[in-house]
Order: sequence, then C-alpha cells, then structure tokens
Amino acid sequence: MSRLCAPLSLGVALLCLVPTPRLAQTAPVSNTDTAPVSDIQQELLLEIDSLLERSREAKARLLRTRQHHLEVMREPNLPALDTVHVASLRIVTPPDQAELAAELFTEVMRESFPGVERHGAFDGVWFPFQWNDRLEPIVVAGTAYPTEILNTVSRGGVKEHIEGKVWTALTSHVLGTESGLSGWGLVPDFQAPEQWHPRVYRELATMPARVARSCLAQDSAACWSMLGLDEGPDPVREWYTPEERRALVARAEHWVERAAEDLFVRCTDQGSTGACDELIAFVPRVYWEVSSARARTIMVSLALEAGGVSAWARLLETPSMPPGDALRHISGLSTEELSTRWRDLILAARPNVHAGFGLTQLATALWVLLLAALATRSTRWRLG
Amino acid sequence: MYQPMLHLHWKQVRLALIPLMVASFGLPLLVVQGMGTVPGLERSTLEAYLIMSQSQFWLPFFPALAGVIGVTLGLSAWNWDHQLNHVYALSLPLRRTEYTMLKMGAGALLAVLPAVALWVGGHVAAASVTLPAELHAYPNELAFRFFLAILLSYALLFTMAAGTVKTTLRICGVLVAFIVLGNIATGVLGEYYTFFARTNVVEVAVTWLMNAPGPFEVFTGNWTLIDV
Repeated sequence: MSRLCAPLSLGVALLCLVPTPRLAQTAPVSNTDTAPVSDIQQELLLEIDSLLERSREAKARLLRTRQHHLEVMREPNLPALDTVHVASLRIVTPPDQAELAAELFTEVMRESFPGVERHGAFDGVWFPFQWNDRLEPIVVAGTAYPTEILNTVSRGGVKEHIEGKVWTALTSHVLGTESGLSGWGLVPDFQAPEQWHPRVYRELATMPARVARSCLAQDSAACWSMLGLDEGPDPVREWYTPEERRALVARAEHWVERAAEDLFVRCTDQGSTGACDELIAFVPRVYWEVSSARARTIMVSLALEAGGVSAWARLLETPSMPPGDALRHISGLSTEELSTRWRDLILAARPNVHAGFGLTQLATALWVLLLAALATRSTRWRLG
Repeated sequence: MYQPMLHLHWKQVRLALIPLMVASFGLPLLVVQGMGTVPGLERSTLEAYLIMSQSQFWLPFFPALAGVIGVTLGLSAWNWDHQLNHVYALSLPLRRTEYTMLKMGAGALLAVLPAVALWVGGHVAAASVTLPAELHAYPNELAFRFFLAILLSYALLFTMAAGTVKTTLRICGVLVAFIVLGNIATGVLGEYYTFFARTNVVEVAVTWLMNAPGPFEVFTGNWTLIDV
C-alpha cells in the first residue's frame, strides 16, 4: 500500500480512475498481508511502478526545461523590444522593425478595418510583430529542446497574418461583451473556413427538423428561422412538426423522463403533442437547436464580408443589437438577401461523396499490375 | 487454356466463395434494415437522421468483407499447385509468366461475382427504403470500390502465395522489422538528426500506404451506401 500512497499524482489518478469494484474490494486487503495479492492488483502495481518511472523522467525533464528557460532569461544578448502604437493598437516589435510594423499595421487597418482603429476592443491586446514571422519547429542536434526558425514570407503574407490577428482580437471583443451576437452561440473565430460549408450542408441534410428540410428545399426564410434569427416565442413549434417533437422527446428521454414520467408516457405512448411540448421545456436548448455554431458563424462571416470594409465599425458601434438586426446592420443587406446568400453558399457546398475516386481507381489498377508482374517473377519453378 | 484455369479455381474456391457472395448481397440490406421508422412511432420524417446514424455501424464491414474475399481468392489460387508440387503446371506447354497471368485472370474474374452480388444487394437495399430528398444511394460506386478492394487484396495474396514460403516469410519479416525497428530507430536518430526528430518514418510509410496513390487508399476511402 505504501506504493499506492507514494507522492505521485499520476499513480493516484490512475487508481481513482479505475472503476472496477473488484479493485475497491481488494485494495484494503493488501494492507493486511493476510490475503494473497490478486492478479489484477499485481498488474496494477506493475503499471504503477512503470508510471513512477515515467513520472521521475517527466520531473527531470521539467527541471531541465526550467533551467533552460532561466538560462535564456539571463542571456545578456537578448534582442531588445520596442512598443509601437498605431491608433489603439499596441505592437511589440524589435526596434529595427518598429517603423515597418507601424507601416504595415496602418495599411491593414486602413484597408480592412477603417473606423475601428481607436476602438476599445484593442485595449487589452498586444500584437507581437516580427518580419518573416512564419515559425517552423526544428530540433537542434544534441538538445532535447524544440526550437523554431523563421521562414521568409511575402509582404502580402505578413499583411494577411496581421489582418487575421486583428480579426481575432475583434471577434474576442464582440464575444466577450454583452452583445447580441455573443449570446447567439458562435465559434470564437468569425473567419469561417470553406471546409465548414460541406459540413453544415451535411448537418442540414440529416437534421430531423422540418425547418432544415425547407431550408434545403431553397426556402430562404426557413434558413433564417433555422439559424435562430428573429426568433418567435415558440421556436420549437416553428422548427419541428408534432411528430418530430415526439421523436425529439423520445431521444431526450434522459432529460425528460425523470422530470415528468406521466407526461413522458402520454407523449411517447399516447401521442399527446401537448405533453411533448411541455416536456421539451425541460430539454436544454442546445439539444433541440437546429443550427450549429458553425452554421451561425458562417452567417456572421458572410455578413461581415457583404458589409465591406466598414462592417466591423458598424458591428462595434451597436453591440447590443439582437443577432438578426446586427447582421442586417453590418451587412447592409435585407433579411431575404442575407438568408439567400447563406442558403446558396451552403447548397453549393454539397459534399462530393465519392470525390477522388478516379485517382483511387487508377492507383489500384497500377498496384494490381505491379503485383501481377511480381507474381510472374516468383521463384517457385526455379531450379536449385 | 483460360477456361480450365477458371474452372479449376472455381472448384477450389466455390465452397468459400458462395457464402461470401451471399454475405456481399446481404450486407447492403443490413445497412438499411429497420430504417425509416422510430420505435413506438409511425413512419416519420426522421429518415435522414436515422439512415445516416444507423448506416455508420455497418460501414467497416464492407472493406473487411472485400479483404476476406480477396484473401480467400488469393490463397485458393495456388492451393492446388502447392498440394501437387506444381506437377500439373510444369506439364503444360506454357511459360511460367503465361501460366501465372492466366491464373490471376481467372481469380480476377471470380472477384466480379461478389462485387455483382453487392451491386445487386445495394440496388435492392436502396429501392427498399424511401430516401428523403436530401439523401442519395450510391450502389454503383460502392460496388465498384468493393470490386477494386477485392482485386487489390487478391493480387497481394496471389503474389505472396506465388512465391516460396521462405520468400513470403522474408517479406512479412521485413515488414514487421520495419514497423518495430523503424519506431525505435526513429527515436534514437531523432536525438542526432533533425529530420528524424520531426519525422517518424513508420508513420510516414503507413500514411502513404493508406492515402492515394498508396495501394490501400481503396480501403480507407468512402464506403457509404447512402449519403447526402
């Protein structure tokens, strides 16, 4: 048992995580020396021994890392850093690049984010900058510490990188405040990558809700409603048919059965829609919400894109607007236009289920021919 | 000469191949089994959700079945020759190359049978469920992928079985040694060479084998019968 009580969080964590009642029964027995140690205990003790060894190694590694960091901090030839201000943006950069940093950040803010340069969104943000700032990990021979090297990138690439950082800072600000969008459930990066589009299409196609099917059937109003925009008082009724609501309750049995067993029976066995609707009130919204955070973030991304360079400024001006109003405001488009654009974007991204199959066919045929050629060269009939 | 080869191979493999053909026919039917309804409810509009979630369970069985069929065909191709010490083959007025190619061709033709069974089964399965507008059945693509997977595993086993036991063991030994020693060597060399610290050669090899143009991409691709 002394091994079990060793000052080792890893080993203790393992014991706590093992859910076998057998272990719980046998663990105290090992204290008494009266009963033989069972096989499972032996196995666990051996496992703990190996973990002890690994923990010692990890501790030694940690110590080495700390020493390394201390050495780096004491290094007298560390490059000095300078802080540059571009409106409200604070940029930390080597002194020899201060002018360049100011120039690039000014250009990016002027071209992509006009009107927000002095916004409070940047108050708590520092932007580190160094030309050629694409880092790649390398390992220096003879040391266990990973390090990084800088690779050359173009001026356009640096500006793109800066734009991404500013975008992230603004997104964090919007989601961190009590804005309408922050309560809408978004992914904490408004730059929705294109790979999300087919995923959202798949979500829509398999969503057991009438509104999702209507959206796929080119009903842009349904798409708007499905995203939870300008939501009515009872979105569940709006999104699901009575039959789908019954099925929803059946799937959410874990949430609703304990809450009201009588209602559950009336809903699932007797088909009472009223009982189902009462029960859905017990189910967390995330369970019956039709659109995903990805789908909603694509809409924000689309609205910002449609709104042009002043879209961010408009968004930051009116943080407390409900999501639907905010989207119309920042994009400058009507509900119909926005929802149609979103719908078209998603419908156009229907995944090509058997994409790349042609290459597979070619590759397989070549491999089969190669194997056949090898088969003819086999040694079976060779004498000697 | 091709016909006797085909006949011989069929005689060798039929007892194993017929059940596998039945399985190939039945597997797509299992995919769609019980679809379109919710227990306790009448036929509902939940089909898309149910179809996609239920069919996921059966997907790994398709490449596995293709692999089993290919292995069966590959091993049975040389079974008779090995048993009779290649006397029959040596008595034929054929070069070794021609003999091997005829034999391989016979097996390849037999590989069509389970693929056709799966194609028919796929179409029957797709016709047996009313798919929602958002979903589509892909029995043709699935059957063709199935055929390619059978062909590849057949060719692999055929080639290995064509050689001597010693050669086969050597190849297997080299593969196992590469996996085991490759991992160890990568770890050791990584201390001295940057390339090995960043790259696990075994992982790279496996990734290459499993992705196009590697040979096994046909097994790791999309095997869905029903999809969006």
